[in-house]
This record gives sequence, structure tokens and C-alpha cells, in this order.
Amino acid sequence: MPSQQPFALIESGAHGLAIVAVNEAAARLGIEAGTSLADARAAHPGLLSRPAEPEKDRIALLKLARWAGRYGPNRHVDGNDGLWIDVSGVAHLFGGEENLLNNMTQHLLSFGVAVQAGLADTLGAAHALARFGCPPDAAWAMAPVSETRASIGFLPVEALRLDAPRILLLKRLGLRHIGQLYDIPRDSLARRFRSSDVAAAVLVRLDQALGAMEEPRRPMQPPPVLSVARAFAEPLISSEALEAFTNELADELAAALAAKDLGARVLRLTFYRADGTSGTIAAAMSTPCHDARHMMALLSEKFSSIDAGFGVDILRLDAVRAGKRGANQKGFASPQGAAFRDPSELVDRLVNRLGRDAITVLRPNGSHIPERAEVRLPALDVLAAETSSRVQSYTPPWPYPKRLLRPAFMLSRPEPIQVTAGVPDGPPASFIWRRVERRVARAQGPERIAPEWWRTLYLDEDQKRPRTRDYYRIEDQQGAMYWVFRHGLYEGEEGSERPSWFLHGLFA
Amino acid sequence: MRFLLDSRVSAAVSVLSPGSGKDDAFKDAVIESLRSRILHIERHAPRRGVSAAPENSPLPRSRRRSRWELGCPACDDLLPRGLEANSLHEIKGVPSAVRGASAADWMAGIGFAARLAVRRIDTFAAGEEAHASSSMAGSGPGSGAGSGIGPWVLWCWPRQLAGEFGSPSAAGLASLGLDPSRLIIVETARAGDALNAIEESLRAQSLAVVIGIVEEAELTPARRLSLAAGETATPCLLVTHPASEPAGATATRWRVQRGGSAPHTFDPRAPGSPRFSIALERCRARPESAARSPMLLEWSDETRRFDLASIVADLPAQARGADGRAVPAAVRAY
Repeated sequence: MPSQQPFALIESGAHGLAIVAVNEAAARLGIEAGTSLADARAAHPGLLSRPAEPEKDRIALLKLARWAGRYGPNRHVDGNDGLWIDVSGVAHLFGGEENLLNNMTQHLLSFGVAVQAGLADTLGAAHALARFGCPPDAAWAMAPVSETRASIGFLPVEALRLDAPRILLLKRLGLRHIGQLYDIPRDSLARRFRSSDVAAAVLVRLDQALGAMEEPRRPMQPPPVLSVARAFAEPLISSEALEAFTNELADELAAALAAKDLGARVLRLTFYRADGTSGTIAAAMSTPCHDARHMMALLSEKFSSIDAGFGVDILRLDAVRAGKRGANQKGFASPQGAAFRDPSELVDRLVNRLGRDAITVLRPNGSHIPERAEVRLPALDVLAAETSSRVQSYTPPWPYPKRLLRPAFMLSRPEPIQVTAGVPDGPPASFIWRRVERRVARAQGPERIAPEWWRTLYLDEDQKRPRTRDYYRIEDQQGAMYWVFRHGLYEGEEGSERPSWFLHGLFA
Repeated sequence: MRFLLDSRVSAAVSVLSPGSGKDDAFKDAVIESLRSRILHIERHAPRRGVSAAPENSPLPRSRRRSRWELGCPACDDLLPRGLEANSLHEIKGVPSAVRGASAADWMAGIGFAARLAVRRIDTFAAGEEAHASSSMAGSGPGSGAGSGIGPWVLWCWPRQLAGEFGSPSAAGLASLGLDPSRLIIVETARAGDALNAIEESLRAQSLAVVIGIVEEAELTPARRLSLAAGETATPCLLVTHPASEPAGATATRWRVQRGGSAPHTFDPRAPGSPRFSIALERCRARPESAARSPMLLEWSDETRRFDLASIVADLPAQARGADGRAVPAAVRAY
């Protein structure tokens, strides 16, 4: 789109097509947002137009907000056309606040985005400066630290983020600049308005802009517990350099965590590339960790997946979640503490490499049905729960007696077998499993396991009822041992189908 | 027999070497098994395998950590330094089919490995019990199941094998003697990942023993595992496909087959204690020990140790060989 041509984005409204945004050339002609397209066309027949796409704008703005994370982890979109970024403690990475603003506006201009920036102590003041305080020849305006009052005093009251009727009211009262509000006693301001609500709204916005009142902000991502970052004048391309700097960041983060007596549970390394894109790698830990070596061990495995692109110019390491460390330190004299290290570091490394669900532990579950008596849970979660809880966690006992002979391996689904039995109710004499016939040498059983009757109470008539199982431990003539069961009883349980046989487990 | 340096060893070898008088050997085997039975009864008697140290002064902690034994003197005497903790031990079943192996062949190897792991943990517990200053150190061997304290064990295998045999069951592991709440199960998508994960686990120094089950380990991965085990003195029990090429670089290699189980004490038709026909195919510390005829060992869930099976009493007449010597079916088959 040639920028010299007047151009407008339009939207169909109640009174036909209306202009929602115009470019610089159109603004110079005096076309404003809000006029109808027909009126504008009548005055300027050369006006080009295209329907507005607010959804796409919103997505683009969110992308920009993600990019803006390089200037501070806490940021989000502001209205339909703005971004806010909390740059507390970040400016030194760019060599001061002016340089930060220059850096940011230049980047945005290079993306083809028209930009006005404002930097102030409060969100309200920064908003006012960015939208109303930018000098025409500069891309940004800045209120020096603790000079907010003076800096926004000359701005129009529109800058206070009030709705249109209130602005109108203020103007009718002759209050055109924010500075005029400073001098009016707060009580008399309330008296001048018809209702106290309006006065309260104005005062809240004024207090927020001046920092007298805290303003809640909701950032794009939950703010990290701790965050350390490095900015580089010369973008990094080699993975060795990235790794070396990440190592430094890990040391720094570990020291910061240790100083607060915290340990990281989730780490996120974000790398902002020079071309405006970014990428992240993350690692989770089962116990709060403030050991830089362990952090690096987890992160460095994923370094191969980093694509540095045109180079990385900002590297940030966040402790996204953290926990109190040392809450469950191993006793000094405990037998285990002396001999072995805690397995949680190993679990972290394996999870990092193989995925959360590949590393599991067995835990008891409240049921007597063999396949439901135990569950396999991700070790990462279980170890975290068992070590990090402040209260000594209660592990329920295994629900069966120690001497019960059960197979070491349970098939995920019992496999049907063809059985020849001496007597209908007795153990099998031979059976065919996986197409091989196995002759039974010895058998022990039955161990009768009844279904859970409480689950059958509310079954409908046509639903299949669970049946009693009679389990046998059997040994074939080669010495291999199997756990088989007869599903159902011979002398008619309800719905009496013929009982069928299944193989459920293998003894090791 | 020029290599015999130690009278204890010579006794054991004369039991086992086929050339040294069959009748004597057989008599000794019977005596040996009777001895071990007596030891069963007297559970607190010092075991012969560790009796090198004087009574009431158990092996130094470091030595307890560095080795463990099967609990059966006839078998332990084949190994000059016991099962070494800092090395890789390979366990293979005997392939029964012409092509490949059945689940039963795998199970024999896995069962033997699991019981070696139980022995390892008990050796630990015994060492800790003797040395821990407080009485909180665990209530000794046999109390492992369900207690929630004690060392961790890691079990690693590729998903494909898990699909074939199902998943390890807590109840079953508890009945083997392992504490299911101290077991980490790793299932990997590929066999190569399993070997990597085993190596990583060996280096972690958090585990009493790592049980790996893979189709095959080639020389390089096996050497890596062996080195990793050596670094941290964490033993690796590697169960491989019964029909695959044996891995090199192992300290020992065992060939295992299930024998018919011992008669049940109360029920003649029921299977009793499991028996394994064991052959030591490779022994790096004493190569002469390898390639002997297999032994039939019986695992006792009570004492948690292996013993020579007392084959005389419980085999039916037709199972005896032509010379009147009882030969278990499994051994004959092998």
C-alpha cells in the first residue's frame, strides 16, 4: 500500500460504512476515524479503503506482545492498539531507559509499525505519555523517575483513560488539563459532579496515574518467581556461546534462588532472536532445585533443538515456579541419606529426555480387583508430592498381604485362552495361549475374586454385569508359570453365559 | 587343577567338576544341600558365603557395597569376588523355539535377575543394619516389601517388550521380595533409548541396582554400561533376548532356564518354590569357572536366597538318569 495515498480501514456500522482507522496521508487531509465512508469519499474521491479485520489485528498485537517479552517478562496488550511492558530492573541491560526506548522504537519501526512510546513510573502515566505526550518529531516520551506529576500535568484530560461522558463533563467544568485537577481539593471535586461515582472514577484514574493507588495488572504469562537475563550487542549464533551464557544465567539464578531460600520447580529459557522471533525451552524438576549444575544438565540436553536463526540478542532464564527448598531434608543418620543420592535428579533428567509419562512409579489404589489395585503414576508428580509437601505425606499401605503370590507381570488386557479342564470346576489340564499349547504340570487355586458389588448396584438391566473370577497359578511342563482365571461360574451367575478362560499374568 | 589356591574353592570345584569322581561329587552335593537346609533353619547363623570375615565383625561397609552373593555357597564359590557391584551382569534365558524365544524363556531370565536384585538389596540392608548408629535403620532383610524405606531400584525396558509381557505389577514384585513403592519404571519408545536411560541411571548414584531388559546390547553400548556401572558401583543386571548374541564387556553372563518348581509343602498338586537351572557362561574374574555344567538352584521366599535344589528327595523315579543319578528335567533339556 503506497503510504502517500490516503487510505482508511472501514467497518459496517449502524449508519453504513464507517471509517475506523486512517493512515497519515488521510489524516493530513482531515479525515478522522468515526466519519462515514460516504462523507469522506464525497470530500476526497481518491480515498482508498479496505474492511477492517479486528481479529487479525488482535492476533498481530498478541504476537507483538510476545516479542516484547525481550524488554521484560511482565507485559500484555493494552486496549486494541497498545502494549504495556513492566521494565522495572531491565533498563540496565540496554544501557539506560533512553537506550531501551530507542532500541524498542527502532525495532518496531523496522517491522513497519508506527509507534509512540511512553515510559513513566506508573501504567497510567505511561499510557498518557504514549498516547498524548509524544512530541511530533520523536517516537517516545519519558517521565523521569518520580517526576510523574510534572510530566503529565500539561496533557489533556482524555489521557486519563476515562469514558467519553466523563471527559465531556470535565471539559464542561473547564478542566482541560490533568494539571488542573491537582489543585482542586478532592472533596470539592466530588461536590462539583452530580454523583459521587463520577468523581470517584476520576479520582481513581488520577491516583493510578500519579502512583497514589496501586493498579492491578494482568500480564500475558504468570510472572516468573525470579528471572535473569542477558542482552548482547552482537547476536549470538553458535550454540557453544549460547550454552556458555546460559550457564552464567543458571549460576546467577541459582544464587538468587538460594538467597531467597527457594528452589526452582519449572525453568524456562527464552531466547529472543534478532529478527524479532523468539523460542523457549523448558524443564521441570520434581523437587525444588537451586543447583546450577542440575539446571544446566536439564537445559543443555535441549540445546540441540535451539534454532539461533539470525542470532540471539537476548537470553532470559526464568524460574517459572519455585518452591521452598529444604522442607524435607533427609535425616543425617538415615540409612538412605548416607548411601544414595535422592533419585529425583535422575527422574528429572530421564523425564527431560524421554517425556513425563515414560518414567512411572507404582502406587496403591483402593480396589481389590487385581488390575485396579495399583496405578502407575508419573514419577515426576509423585516424587514432587511426596517430597515437597510440608506435612509428612501419608502413603497408604499396599492393600494385600505380603505373602500373596501374584504374577510379576500383568497383561494390560487379559488374553483369552482355550482350556481343556479335567472337571468343569477344576484347574486347566492344558491350554492354548498365543497359538502354543501348554500342558499343565501343577496348579494351585482357585483364588476367587468377586466383582465389586457396589459398582453393580446401579447398572441397567441390559448392561453387562461383572462376573466372579477364579484365579489359578499354574505351571506348565517347561516350568513356566502363568496366572489364569475362569471368568464366571458354572452353576449360573445371572446372565449365565458359559464361563470363559483368560490369561492375566506371567510369573517371573 | 593348578589354579586352586584356596581350600574352600577346591572343595567347591570338586563338587562341580564332572571329572572328579561322579559318586563323590554327588555325595558332596547332597551334603551341601543338607548343610544349606540346616542354615535355612538356623537363620541367624553366619552364611558360608560371607564367612571369610570373623563372626560379629561383618564385612567393612565398603566391601558390602562393592559385592554381593547369591547365598548359595556352591554357586558363590565360582565367583572369586562375588557378584561385583561395579560391573555389568548379563542374564539370558534358553531359547526354546527354533526361531526367537517365548515369553517363558524371557521370564526365566527376568525372574533370576529380579531375585539377584533382592539379594543385592538385602546385602545392603544387612550392612546398614550392622553399621547404622540408630535402630531406625530398617528391620533387616525380609522387611523390605511395603515398608517404603530402603534403596530405590530402577527397571528399564522398551515399550515393545512391555506390550508383550504386560507391565510390572506391584503385588507380583512384592511377592518376589522387591518393595514396589521404591521402584522406578522406565519405558522407552526405542531400544536405543532404553540403553541410554540405563546408562544415565547407573551414573546417578541413587539406585541400589538397575535392571535393564533389552533385545540385545552390542559391544559399544555394553562397554558404556560397564564403565557407567564402574563409576558409581551401581550394578546393572541386563536381561537380553535368549537367542541374541551375548554382549561383550560383561563381568558375568548367566544362562537361565526354569526348572519345575519344588514340591509344595502342603499341596502336592501345587507349584512350590521356583527353581532355576543356572549356568555361568562367562566370568571375567575367573574364566575357568565358566562353561561348567548347569546347577539347579532353588529360591526360597523365606530366607530370600538361592540354594542347591535337593533333587533326590522329590523327583519321581522315572526322572533319574540311567546311572541312577537324578537329573532334573530342565538340566537334561539343556
